[in-house]
Amino acid sequence: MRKNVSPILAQLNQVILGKEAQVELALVCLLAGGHLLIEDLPGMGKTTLAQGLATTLGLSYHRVQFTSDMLPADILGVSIFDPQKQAFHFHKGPIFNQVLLADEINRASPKTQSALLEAMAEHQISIDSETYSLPKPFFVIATQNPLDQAGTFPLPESQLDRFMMRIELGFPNMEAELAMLQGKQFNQVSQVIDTAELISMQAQVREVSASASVLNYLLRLVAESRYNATYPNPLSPRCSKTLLQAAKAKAWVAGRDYVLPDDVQAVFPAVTDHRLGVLGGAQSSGAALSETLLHAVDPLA
Amino acid sequence: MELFFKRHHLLLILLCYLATTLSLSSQIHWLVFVLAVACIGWRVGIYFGRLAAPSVMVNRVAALLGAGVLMSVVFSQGLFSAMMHLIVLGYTLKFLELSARRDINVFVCTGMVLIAVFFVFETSVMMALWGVLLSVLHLGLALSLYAEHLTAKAQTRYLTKLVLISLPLALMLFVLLPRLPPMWKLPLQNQATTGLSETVNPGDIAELSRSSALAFRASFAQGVPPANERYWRVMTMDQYVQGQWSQSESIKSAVRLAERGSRFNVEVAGAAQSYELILEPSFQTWLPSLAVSNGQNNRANLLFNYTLRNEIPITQRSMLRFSYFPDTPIRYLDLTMRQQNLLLPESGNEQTRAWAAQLKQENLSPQQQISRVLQRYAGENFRYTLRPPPLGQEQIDGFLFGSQAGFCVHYASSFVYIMRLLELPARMVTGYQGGEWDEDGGFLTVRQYDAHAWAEVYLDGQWQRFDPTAFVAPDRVERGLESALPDEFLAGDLSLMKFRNNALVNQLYLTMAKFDYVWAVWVLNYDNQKQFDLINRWFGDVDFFGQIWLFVGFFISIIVLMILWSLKPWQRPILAREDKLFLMLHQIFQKQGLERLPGETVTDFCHRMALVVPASEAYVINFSRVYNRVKYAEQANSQNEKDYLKLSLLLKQLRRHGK
Repeated sequence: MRKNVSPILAQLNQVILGKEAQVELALVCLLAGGHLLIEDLPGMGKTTLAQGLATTLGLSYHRVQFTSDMLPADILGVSIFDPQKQAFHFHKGPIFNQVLLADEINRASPKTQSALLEAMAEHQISIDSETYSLPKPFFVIATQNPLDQAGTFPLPESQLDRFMMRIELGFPNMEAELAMLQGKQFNQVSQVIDTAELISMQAQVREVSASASVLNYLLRLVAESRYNATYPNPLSPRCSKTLLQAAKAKAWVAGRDYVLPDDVQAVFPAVTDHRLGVLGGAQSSGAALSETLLHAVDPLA
Repeated sequence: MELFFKRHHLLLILLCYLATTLSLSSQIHWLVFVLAVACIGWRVGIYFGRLAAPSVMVNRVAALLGAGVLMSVVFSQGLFSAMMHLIVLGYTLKFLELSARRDINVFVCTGMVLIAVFFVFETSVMMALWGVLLSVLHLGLALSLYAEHLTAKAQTRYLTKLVLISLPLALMLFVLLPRLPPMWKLPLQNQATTGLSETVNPGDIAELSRSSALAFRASFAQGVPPANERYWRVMTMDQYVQGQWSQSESIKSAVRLAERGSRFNVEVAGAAQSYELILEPSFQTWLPSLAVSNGQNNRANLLFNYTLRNEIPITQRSMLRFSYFPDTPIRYLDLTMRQQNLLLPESGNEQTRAWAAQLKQENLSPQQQISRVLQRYAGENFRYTLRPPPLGQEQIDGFLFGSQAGFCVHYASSFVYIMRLLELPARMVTGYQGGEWDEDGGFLTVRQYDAHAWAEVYLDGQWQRFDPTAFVAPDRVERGLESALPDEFLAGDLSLMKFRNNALVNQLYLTMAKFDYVWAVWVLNYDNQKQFDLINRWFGDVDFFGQIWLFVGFFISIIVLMILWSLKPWQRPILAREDKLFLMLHQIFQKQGLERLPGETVTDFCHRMALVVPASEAYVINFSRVYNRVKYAEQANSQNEKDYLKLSLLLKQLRRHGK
C-alpha cells in the first residue's frame, strides 16, 4: 500500500465500516479520473461514502437530490436577464463543483440524466451557445437505487458507459454494524489531502507502466466479450481504455509502478458489470457475466 | 434407461445397417435377415419405450445361439464365408446393446470391415463408389454422435473435409502398400458361369450373340493383329454325339490335369509377341488365347490341343500376361487322337454322306477337296443369320440341303462333319473372333457377341484353321457381327450398344469403356509387378529393400505430418523463460492434484498454494512476487537476469523443501 494513500483509506474506512474493498475501488476510480456510480438499496451508506470521499480529498462538492420533476437547468444553471446591465447573466448550477454528488440519479427523468452527459465526458457544458469549462478535477459520484424499486428511470447505456465503475456496497457484517451502533464511527471527517496533491497523484497513476503481456490479457478479455455470443453487450474501446486506467490506479494504490493481471482482475467486475448488460444489480442466477469472462480468459496464455 | 442418442442417430444407424447388409445380400444367408428384423424391431421397441433393453444374459445367449446356427449353416461354404457371417452377426446383434457410445464405435468399425468385405466381391467402378459412400455414411454416423455441438451443415462440411484429406493418403497407401496374396479361398456360391459352355449345340452361340456383356480385353505390346487373324481359341470339340459337339474324355482328363498344374510342352518357333488379357469373371477355368500362346509366371497351363486352362476359376476381373508365337504350328496328333477326330456316328445325314462319297470318288487332293467344300458354301444360296429355321433330326442334312441358313456353329459343324467323312482329321474350335480395337486406349474389347466357332483340319502335319463362315459372311470375320447382321444384332438387348450410331452416345460409350479399362488395369490388377514398375519409374532403380525403406519412410513422414498437423507448433506462442519456470512450479502442485483455476493469475495461484500446502509458503509467495516483477515490470536487463536466477533458485528450493 502506498504511504500517502493509506491515511485516506483509513479515514474512509472509519466512515463506512467493513467495506474496505469497495472503499478502495471508489478511491481507485477517482484516482483514475473516472466517475463513480454507487448502487444499492436505500440506507446502505451510499451518500455517506460519496460525502466522505469528497471531504477527505479536499474537494468542493455539491449534493443534488434527483427527483422526477427535476429539470436540466436545476443542475447546469440558468441564464437570467439582468435589467441593470441589460444583458443575460448565467447563474452557475451545482455542476460547477469539483464533485457533483448526484443522489438517486435514476429517479430523475431521462432528460435531466442526459444533461450530465456532456459534462461527464468533456468536462464542460454548453448553454445558449456558450461553453463553460468545469473545475478540475471534476467527478460525478452518483448513487442509484436498484431498478426494481418504485419510481426509477433506468440509466441509458450511453450514460452508464460514462461511469468508470459501478460498485455495490452490500450489507455490512455484524461486527461492523455493531461498531456502527455503538457510535464509534461518527468521527468528524476531515480533509486529508488537497487538490494539488490529488492532481499529482492522478499524474503518477498515468505514469504506471503496463507491459505487453498485460495489455494482451486485457485485449483478450475484451475480444472474448465481442466474439462470444454469451455476452449480449460487448465491451467498447472506451471500456478497454477505462479498464486500463483503473488497473493502473489499482496498481499505483498497491504501491507498484507496473500493472499486474491481478490489478485488471480486481477492477474488472466494477468496471465491466454495468457495461456487459447486468443492469439493476440483482443477478437472477449464476455468476455475474464479468466473472464468467474472467474465467474464460487465461491471464497467462 | 436414458437414451444417449436421438432419433436421427437411430435412423442413421438403420440406414448404415440396411445399406451395408443389402449390398452384401448375395453373400449373406437369409437367416441373418430374419435375425436382423427381430433385432431392429426390439431396438425400435426400446426406443419408443415399449420394450425393455435385453439383459447381458440375453445378449450372450443370442450371440452364442446365432453363431452356432449360422456356423452350422454356412460352414460348408468355407472359412471366408464363415468369418464374414460372424462379423455380420455381430453387426446385427449390436442393435440389442446400443447403450453407450462405445457400442456405436463398435458398430461403425464392424461396418467398415464389412465394407472391406464388400470390396472383395464387387470390383466395378460404380460399386467402388458405392463402397466409398457406405464408408462415408458410417463416418457420418460417428461424427453425428461426437460432434453434436455442430450444426448439420458444419458436420457435413467437417465430414467432407475429412474425406477429402484422407483421399490422397488412401491413394498413396494404395500405390505403396505391398500386395499380399489372399489368405483364404473365396467362396464360389450363387454364381452362374458365363461365356462359352463345354458343349456346343447350334443355339448356344446364338444366345451369346445377343449379349453385349464384356468377355475380355486385350492389349498388345507389339501391335494388334489384323481383324481376320484375331481368332481367340478357347476349346476344341472333337466328339459328335446326337447332333451335339463336345470334348472327348481325353480332352476332359487333360483339362483336369492342367487345372492341377500340369503343362503340355511345346517347342515354340518364330518371334514371340506378348499381350495382356483382362478377363471378366466367367467362373470357369478356360482362357481365350491366340495360337500358340504360352503363359508365363501365372497359373495358365497349356493343353495338348494348344488351348489354355487356368488352375483356378476366373472369379473376378483378372489380368494375365501371355506370349504368343504366330509362326508356331499346332502339330500335336497321336493315334487315338486321330481316331477320335475321324469318329462319326455310324449312320444318319445320308444326303451329306452321299455327297461326300461322291466327292471322294473324284480322286482329288485334300486341299482340292476342302476348297470344293468351301466353294459350295460360297456358291449356293447360303445365308448367314442368327435366327435359323429349326432343323430336323438330321441336322447336317437339314442345314446343307434344306434351310441353308445358319450361323458359325452350323457352318463349322457341317464342315467338320464333311471333313471327317472325307477321312481328314477335323475338330470344331470355339472361342471368340474379332473384337473392337480402341486406337486411343490401345486395347481390344471382346464381347460375348464376338463368340465364334470354326474348324481345324489336320493337313500336312499340322492343324490348319478353316472358317467356313468367312465364305458366307466375310463381314463377320473382317468387321464383326454388327456389320454382318445389322438387323439382328443385339435384338432384345437394351444396352447402350444399340444406340452407338448416335455420335454423342458413341463418344460417351467409348469414354466409359476406356475408363473401365484403366480401372481394370490400374486398380483391380495393380499387382506387385505393376507396383514395382511404377516405383522404379518414379524413383529410379529401387530394389526390394529400397522399396521397403521407401514405404517405411513414407509412413514415418505421414505420421510426422499428422503430429505436426494436430499440434501446430507454428501456432504455439513462444513461452517466456519465466513462464516455463512457472509451468514447472505448476507441475509440482499438479502432481499433488492441485490445478490452477480458470482465469487464476500467478499471484492468486501462489497465494492459494501457500494456504493449501503450508510448507511451500515461503517459496511460492516470493516466487509470485519475483515472477510479477520479471514479467510485468519495466526494469533493467541486469535486474531481470538476477530476478530470473532467483526464480530458478526458488523453484529448486520448493522442489526440495516445499512438499
